[in-house]
Amino acid sequence: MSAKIKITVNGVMHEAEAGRNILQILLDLGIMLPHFCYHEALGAAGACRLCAAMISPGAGKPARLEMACMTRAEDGMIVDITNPQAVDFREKLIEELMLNHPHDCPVCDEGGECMLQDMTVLCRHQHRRNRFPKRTWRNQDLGPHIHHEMNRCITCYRCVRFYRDYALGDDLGVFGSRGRVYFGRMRDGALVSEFSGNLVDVCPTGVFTDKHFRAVYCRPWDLQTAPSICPHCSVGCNVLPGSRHKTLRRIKPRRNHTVNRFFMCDHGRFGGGFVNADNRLTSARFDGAGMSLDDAITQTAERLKEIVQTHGRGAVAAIGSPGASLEANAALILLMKTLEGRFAFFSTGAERAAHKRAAALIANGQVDTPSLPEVEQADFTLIVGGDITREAPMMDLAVRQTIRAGAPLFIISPQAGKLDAFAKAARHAALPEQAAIVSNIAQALDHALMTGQPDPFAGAAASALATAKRPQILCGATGAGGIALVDAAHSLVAKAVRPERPCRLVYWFPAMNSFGISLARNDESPDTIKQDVENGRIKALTILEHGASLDSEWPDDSKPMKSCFTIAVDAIAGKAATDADAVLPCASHYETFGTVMNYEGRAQRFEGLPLPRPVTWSSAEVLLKLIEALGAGEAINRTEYHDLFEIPATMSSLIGTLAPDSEGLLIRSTAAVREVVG
Amino acid sequence: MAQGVRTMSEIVLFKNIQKNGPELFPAGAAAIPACGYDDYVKNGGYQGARKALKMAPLEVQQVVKDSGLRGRGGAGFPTGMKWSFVPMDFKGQKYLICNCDEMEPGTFKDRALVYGDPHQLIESMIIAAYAMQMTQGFIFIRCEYRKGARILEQAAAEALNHGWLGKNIQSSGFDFHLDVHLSAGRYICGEETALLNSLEGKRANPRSKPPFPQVYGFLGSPTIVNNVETLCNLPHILARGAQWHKSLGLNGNAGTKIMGASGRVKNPGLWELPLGTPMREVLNEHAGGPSRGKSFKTVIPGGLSTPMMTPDQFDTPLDFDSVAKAGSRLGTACLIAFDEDDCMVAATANIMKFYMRESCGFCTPCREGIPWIYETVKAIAEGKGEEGDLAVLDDMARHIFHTFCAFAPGAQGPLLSAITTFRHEFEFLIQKSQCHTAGGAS
Amino acid sequence: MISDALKVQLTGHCGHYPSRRVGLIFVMQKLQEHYGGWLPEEAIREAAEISGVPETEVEGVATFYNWFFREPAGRHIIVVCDSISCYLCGCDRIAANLERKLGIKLGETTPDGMFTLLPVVCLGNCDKAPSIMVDDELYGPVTADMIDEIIEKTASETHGTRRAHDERNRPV
Ligand SMILES: Cc1cc2nc3c(=O)[nH]c(=O)nc-3n(C[C@H](O)[C@H](O)[C@H](O)COP(=O)(O)O)c2cc1C
Ligand code: SF4
Ligand code: FES
Repeated sequence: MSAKIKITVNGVMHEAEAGRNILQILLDLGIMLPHFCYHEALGAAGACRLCAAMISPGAGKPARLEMACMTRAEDGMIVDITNPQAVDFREKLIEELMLNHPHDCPVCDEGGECMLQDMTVLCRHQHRRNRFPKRTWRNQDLGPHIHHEMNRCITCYRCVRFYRDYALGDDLGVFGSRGRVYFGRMRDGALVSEFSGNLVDVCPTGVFTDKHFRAVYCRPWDLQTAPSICPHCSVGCNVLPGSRHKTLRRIKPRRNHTVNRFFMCDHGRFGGGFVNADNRLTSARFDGAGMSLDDAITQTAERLKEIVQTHGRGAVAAIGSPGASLEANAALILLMKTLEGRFAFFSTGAERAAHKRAAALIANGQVDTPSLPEVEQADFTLIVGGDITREAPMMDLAVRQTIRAGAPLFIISPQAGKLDAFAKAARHAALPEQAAIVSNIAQALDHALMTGQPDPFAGAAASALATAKRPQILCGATGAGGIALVDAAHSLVAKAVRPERPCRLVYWFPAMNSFGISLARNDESPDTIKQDVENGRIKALTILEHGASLDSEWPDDSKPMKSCFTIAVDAIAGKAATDADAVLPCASHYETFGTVMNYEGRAQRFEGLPLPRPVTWSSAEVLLKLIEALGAGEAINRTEYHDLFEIPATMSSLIGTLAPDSEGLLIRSTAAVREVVG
Repeated sequence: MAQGVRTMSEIVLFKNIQKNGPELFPAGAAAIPACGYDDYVKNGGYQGARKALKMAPLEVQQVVKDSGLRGRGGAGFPTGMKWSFVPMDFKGQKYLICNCDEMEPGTFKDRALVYGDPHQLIESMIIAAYAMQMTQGFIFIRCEYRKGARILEQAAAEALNHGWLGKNIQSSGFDFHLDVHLSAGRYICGEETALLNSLEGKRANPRSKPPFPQVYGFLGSPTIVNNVETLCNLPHILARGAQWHKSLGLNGNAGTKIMGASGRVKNPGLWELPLGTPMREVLNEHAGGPSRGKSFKTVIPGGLSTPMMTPDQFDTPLDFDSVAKAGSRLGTACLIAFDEDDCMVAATANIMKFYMRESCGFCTPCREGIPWIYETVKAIAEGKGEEGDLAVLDDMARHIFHTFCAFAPGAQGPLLSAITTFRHEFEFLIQKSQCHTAGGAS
Repeated sequence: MISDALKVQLTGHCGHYPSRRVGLIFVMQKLQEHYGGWLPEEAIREAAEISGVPETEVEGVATFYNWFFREPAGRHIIVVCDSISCYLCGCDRIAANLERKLGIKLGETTPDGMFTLLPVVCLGNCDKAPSIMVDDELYGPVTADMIDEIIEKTASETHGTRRAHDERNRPV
């Protein structure tokens, strides 16, 4: 994009982007210039003064000690970080920062991933000369998640720059002045931001640490980790769960540049409890008797065969899960194909219709769906169809970046939400009514005569939309708004798009893999399956991962389940598993691998933590074993994703080769494959 | 080389204050009465503004440029040039701010101008505002000058009554609104970008430059921040011309400067003198020489942020370039004198205490380094100095230069000069645990 | 609690700036006056509400500046300049005298709530060093003999710049 320039770093010439700050250029080049307050997402503050380097504007011009983070790169600049004056300055700076530091590294939770430790070693400060008393602080109780230890503070301002400036939270602040600057809340109490957990990561030392991780402490280097995807919503944040001994200890965001980049929400970060929960399924069961998983699979296969033989095709059915991987749902469909059975996803037919329409619009390339970093760039946002703060928190954080840049925000939601405070206008209406409001905006955009009363909200939204250069509409495809809302949002975008100006559209979904299952071929409406279970036409029902922590209202509490042989493939002893005749336990999300598709239709691969468990198979593997037990093993090798899902054949094979640290693969049925990184 | 006390004819800034009484600050509660509107006008007040309003704004800027006026807030930046960075085609509101924070120890010149002659400042702001077409002005005044704030508010009300403020000033078509903002107090508020944050209702941390306030200042709009004394020159420059102003100084310096002396001088006070007046003249003729019969040991020339100068440098002319050449800074030209009996270690501790207390706490060397310096110097002064203390001071004194704003470099000035020039006093105290001067500071 | 009239006045003050926040310091100064010389938590809340600035940031402002007090202050505030010129001219002696006279240390308030004694940076009165300021009145050069007189005169003043200490928690 911007012009390339040449700068010399430590005697070597490099190419760089003009106008970027020198520190970031160095970090991108893999040159570690010590720093604290600079953070790629939060920008430069110039507070810590550690990133000092000798910088000269060009050959023959005098070099001066400058802060690299505050210096914009210009052509011909010469940067020397090894200059003795700079090295000495940085060493003395660490000495200053350590004057009041409690030197409590042996008992500090940050140990092993402490930036202050790293920088101290890097800058070679070793000997403490200060003989005067240290300043000490009283800590605060910041609620269930975050532990506060102010004495370790080095006053880099990263916490408030994240919490207040970046995430627009207003209950963490900076108090006092001079050598007595305090970061905390006005009084003790839980942090209210959905993003408070990121304090743990942005704080370069141990002021803000993870209370849950502390509770059963281990050193970070003793953790086993696996690149994973957060299972809690359709944003698909890249995460790094860490385990030790038999338990999941913590979850951190995993750096990437196309999805969540640096951060994640608290729901995801502190929502991994299901892995360690007491209600995990550990043993298999068949007709009330406990047994090995192998035996249970064999017996289940026998029973399924009997039922099909007795009742013919269509007697068995299955319900897939948006909380399970593409592989698991594929295996479920394949199982049904083997048994000539029927299958459905979703809770209601209406939800299915809305999801499938939204996913198809994206997959067919009919709408331009932004990634999170692109959401941040918009200069107009309309949110409709739900509470984005709860249903897709990291998208909320992306929208907050547009607010910071001064872009107008309009909200149509069922009830008051946290983003309302930043909105130009917020309108609260029941979901089914929202489509009409969206249509009003479309009409106002046309300057067409609106039916009935003129709608000032629609008028204001339309005029802001009309003048925006990079507008976007974020629509919840949650189902309750129905296909009408999905279509209304699409029509509005279609009207707003002009050749010189795209208008982007996000449909966010209720679950991790909602998008994936929406692409399933030949699935039925859950309504008909439910009906046939109730009227006894369906004799066997397989339910995939409905007990997981993910919300699911289906199947409901209706009695006829009893007259039908039910099989639960699940990691958690939820309702489905408790009621089932056959229980086939599987590993939980963080213990297994697979592929999921986020709201953009971005297929992302995740891997599992090797937790020592009685059960280590994923639900997909369990289902494949069941297919093998049915004697249909060869079907597995013959089947491709595009046989089961609306995915182009070319992409089908790519999914299998995705790497967890890639950008993933945007599923598009047209040739418009935007990015493929193996 | 004393040149004798300047004649009254050169006194312009103090004209109305002198008229009201010989003493600027009589002791006790009874302050000098401020010069009211009628007296001010009788003495030629508002003539400069009247003239300016008849000129084109850019012409006014040119006159100021030609006059050679340099900022009196400490840095001495040419005022006309600073103004020229303001984008005149900017569509929205632009702001003019008068910096009356004056919290730098040893500096007390702006107080005299504000308390004694408020209309002079108001007229000045009208001229500056008109020159840059700024329709809103603020006087940012420190909390301890709250009486001054009231004086200014009263004067502003008078000016409003007489059509010098508000809409359509003197039927010129130019609007100018003036607010007096009473600060909540902190030295760092005087730094112009910290001042902007303070005025916006925020913590007074400085902002990074660029962007400079002239382009992106108060509420993101083009803003000029000028010192009280800088501004007060304007009516006279406008009324009597750029050349006249240029001719006031000595050796090619333009204008007069309010110079002061405090500390160990017999006759502390303020005098308006030609820029370039030798330091010795101020010390001996105006300030009456040393107060205790001891000879001077050192002088801090311009508020507490400037390096110390020694008697061999007393012939230095007090102007921006000459003092800089002598290794210090003119700053505010309010001299602080020390004599032979003053312990420079204890004095340095006092200076560092000020900087420690007033740091905004934003950046590391200032927030952490200065308290350490203070503790160390204090320990030495109390006879508890140790072997490595001077090494710490050497390191830290170099270090506090590379900070976010000019506050800590201000602390560096006196510190570095103290530990260099008076190193023997530090060494003596560390070795003998007692001050080499007989009495120490009184 | 503040009166509706004061609230209207302060809200109006904030309203006449392009950003309401610009009025914050003024609002806090007025509230401090109203609450008898300090800012109780209630005042922080009110300032937040009036200026539209989050409470946390108001607290950040309140704790930054020298002249906002988050603890009860005396009816009269005596500040003693301890900067360089006054230091040279004996401010330590003056401070010690004041401490003895009032029976408190620098930074404290007399038990009867009458006086708070604080150090202050240069009062801009260096030619009259040593200097002190009592409420709005500046004194200098101050001698030991003057101190009794100044204190007595101040204590006898019925209306200071601050409201009486005991009015502070009066129910409204
Ligand atoms: C720590 C610090 C304190 C300052 N205090 C003042 C002050 O009290 N009054 C002032 O006029 N300038 C002060 N300045 C200088 C201002 O930043 C600014 O340069 C000045 O107001 C510009 O006015 P001038 O161009 O008229 O000199 C201070 C600078 C620093 C770094
Ligand atoms: S040098 Fe740094 S800490 Fe000191 S006043 Fe300036 S910004 Fe604040
Ligand atoms: S040093 Fe005390 S008034 Fe200036």
